[in-house]
Amino acid sequence: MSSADAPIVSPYAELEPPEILAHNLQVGARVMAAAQSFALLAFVFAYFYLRTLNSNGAWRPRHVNPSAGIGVALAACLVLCAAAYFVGVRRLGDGTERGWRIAASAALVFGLGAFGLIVAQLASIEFGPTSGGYASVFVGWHAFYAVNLLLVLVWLETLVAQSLHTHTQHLAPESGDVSAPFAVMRPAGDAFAVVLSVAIVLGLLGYLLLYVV
Amino acid sequence: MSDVAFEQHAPRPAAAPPWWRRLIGFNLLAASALGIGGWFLGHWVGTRITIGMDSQLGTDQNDIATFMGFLFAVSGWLIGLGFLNYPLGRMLGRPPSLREKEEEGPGRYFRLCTDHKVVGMQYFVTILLFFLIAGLNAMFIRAELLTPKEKLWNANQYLSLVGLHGTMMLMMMSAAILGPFANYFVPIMIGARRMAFPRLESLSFWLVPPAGLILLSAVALGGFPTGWTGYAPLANTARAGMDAYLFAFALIGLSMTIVGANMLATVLTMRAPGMTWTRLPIFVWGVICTSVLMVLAAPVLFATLSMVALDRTADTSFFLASAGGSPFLYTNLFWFFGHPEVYILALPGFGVVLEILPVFSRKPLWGYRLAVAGMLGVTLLSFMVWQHHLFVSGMNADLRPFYMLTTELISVPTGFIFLNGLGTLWRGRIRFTVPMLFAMAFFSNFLIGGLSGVFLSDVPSDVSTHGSYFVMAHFHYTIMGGLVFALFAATYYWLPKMTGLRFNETLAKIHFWGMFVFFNFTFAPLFVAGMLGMPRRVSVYSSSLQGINDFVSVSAFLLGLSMLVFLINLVYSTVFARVPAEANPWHSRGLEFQLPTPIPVRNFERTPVIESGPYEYGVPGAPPVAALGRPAVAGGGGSSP
Ligand code: HEM
Ligand SMILES: [Cu+2]
Repeated sequence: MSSADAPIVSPYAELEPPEILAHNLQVGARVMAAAQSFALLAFVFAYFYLRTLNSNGAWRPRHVNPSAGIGVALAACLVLCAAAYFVGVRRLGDGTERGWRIAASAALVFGLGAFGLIVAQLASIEFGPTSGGYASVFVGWHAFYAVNLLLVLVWLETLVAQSLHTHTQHLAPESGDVSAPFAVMRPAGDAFAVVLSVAIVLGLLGYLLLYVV
Repeated sequence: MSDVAFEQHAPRPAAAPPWWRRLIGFNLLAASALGIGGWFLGHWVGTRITIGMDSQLGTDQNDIATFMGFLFAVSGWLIGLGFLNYPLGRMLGRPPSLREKEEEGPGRYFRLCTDHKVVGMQYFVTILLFFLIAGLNAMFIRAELLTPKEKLWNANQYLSLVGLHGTMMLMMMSAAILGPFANYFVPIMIGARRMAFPRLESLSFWLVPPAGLILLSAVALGGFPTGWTGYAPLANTARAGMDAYLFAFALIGLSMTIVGANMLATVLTMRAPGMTWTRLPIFVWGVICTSVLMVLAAPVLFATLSMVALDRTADTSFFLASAGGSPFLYTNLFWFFGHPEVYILALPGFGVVLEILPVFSRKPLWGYRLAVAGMLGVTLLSFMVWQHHLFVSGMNADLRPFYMLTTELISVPTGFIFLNGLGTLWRGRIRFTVPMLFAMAFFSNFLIGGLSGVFLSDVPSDVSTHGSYFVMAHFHYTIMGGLVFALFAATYYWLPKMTGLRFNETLAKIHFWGMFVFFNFTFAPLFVAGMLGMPRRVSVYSSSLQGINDFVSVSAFLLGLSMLVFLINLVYSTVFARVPAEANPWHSRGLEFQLPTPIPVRNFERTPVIESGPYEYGVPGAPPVAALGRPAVAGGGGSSP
């Protein structure tokens, strides 16, 4: 699909040296992590602003109580996702292909679990978004965070898919192709770790604010 | 499938695909069809899922359907262009590939193309188009203001017109220099062959046309009453045109984030050997600072607009004080983006004029480090001033001195830029070419804009000028007098390199003088009108002000006419006269001017090794910036420092 539709003009196509590609990914991931956190911090700002202001005494009426159980499960999923991924990255570092694949897939499953829990939470809350400032931030945060998480997980999925693919289809390393097996995944794996950890830390911050304090 | 990996090495003439494939392959057609179809599909889906919802009772307007329509339309557009092919392939396990859709021929300007030079041209034309539309709106506004009474449009239509003009201008001008000129020249200036993320680069551009069109669709959806700032809670209750504003501006926010990230990664990682931080052209420094602002501020805009969208569709109450929200939350979040945004507009302009002055003064840039420090200072401080927009909002009065101080402080690093400019001109051998004229006009205009800004940052004087035409004159002096003049400086300076064709000099000079004179005639009197109490965003004013306003309107029309001169020149020079430009018409030391015209697809045959700074004009014994055309390093490696 990706290859068929474009005229192929090979003479112009070339590869950058791998260290530049790695460096690109590193910088790009950090910048994207920063952008991601500023977007989500806007909601954190809204949280504190509305909570402090408590206009009309409507920050959080008594009946506004989201399911704490789902909250705990959500936080647990996020932690497990991060933990699994970091085990994976370790394996990636020491070249244990199998370990990486299992751990990264596990991280993906936990991440999707977290996403599912957010959807479940939004579907099951007994208060509406109209029920005050807290309810607004609650709904807004969960919706926005879910979309963000999903995008992060798409990247994780490509890493998993790629490692499964290189496992089954051996590409010639001497072609100099960036996809040549396992080792080339490392920069992407490391770069993704930055984005994922920022996403998870923000997710846990959201948990703390919306469920705990 | 595994042949994907080898395509880049073995040339393979693409076999003619079947007719239906060719039809879809004509990206722009497919994109338009899917985009329009997407709107109807999305609207239909949105209508279906909202049937029976309480929020729909008793209204004739379905915001969810409108948003779904926009979402599907943009998705269809991007799918049609082929943006999903690669990511989907990756999700299915295809290996990453750098194989680029770099090609020759005019077709590449109409599709997803990852050549940064093509993206630059695409940006240039698109931005120009929307700029003209927004400018036309300004003419309509000024026509209404010929009389102190409501005449051509009623109050609501007038308000929409103002909002449309302002929003379109800010949306498009945010990338007016980065889009065309940074995309085109930053990789070349740093000695690279491409941007760090070429596909994202293309994406950042292809988000712009739908954003512009969606904003225009507000006209059909009842307009929007909030001006470019979109203040809630007015935005919560406005007609569906508000949805268009929200969606379009959010798309631009997304595009800006991508542009910023891409530029940062490119400059940080792709510099040629020898391109040290102190040899970086000052324009590139301007781009770096702008990118930092874009990456940090635009996501906040995106989040803020999402909150408004949630208020309008999901009935949250972020901004409704009666239900636990607060409209001040909106103003704070918006201006946390909004103030950096004004420097997103200004910094590329600083970069352009400082890049151009040394070339036409034949002297090194005076105080290079000071200029960099100034830009970095502006970048840092611009996140700490946003409440100066809220001085009269009833904010905590004790906070006002702090924001007054930070705002006045920011004029210090801005002043650095003026010092650099003056120091460079001082005793230079000045050539008054058209780009130079625009660059010098930048300084005089921005000076007036900047000085009037100091009055606005001063709480006591802001109290009496806030919301008046004084503000309006102030920001037009900075944005139009600053950014737009810099934009034309850049256009006259670089476009001959991009197109290989010369501008007609006489027409260009008529354009400059018309624009300079009538710009000042248009906006200087508005300071006075503002001081006399003429408010923004309303079409009725005290009849004692009609004299000033008629003068301003006539000047504005003549200003519009000068834009027409530019347009005529552009068409005449590129379509009819077609006088070829020399490869280095300005005798610039800039690396981009050392390349042949047209610049080859790969930019450099070999990775250049940078041997000297870009501004060493008249410095005895200064070597050229880079030795091109001979083997650079053994093996021609492309590693960066
Ligand atoms: C041909 C030159 C231009 C003319 C004659 C012009 C005129 C005007 C007028 C009459 C208004 C309405 C003021 C009011 O009633 O509140 C306005 C608003 C505005 N203009 Fe321009 N303008 C021009 C160019 C520009 C440019 C180049 C930009 C930015 C790049 C720009 C940005 C804005 C903005 C942001 C607003 C505020 C809209 C709002 O209140 O929400 N204008 N302009
Ligand atoms: Cu400001």
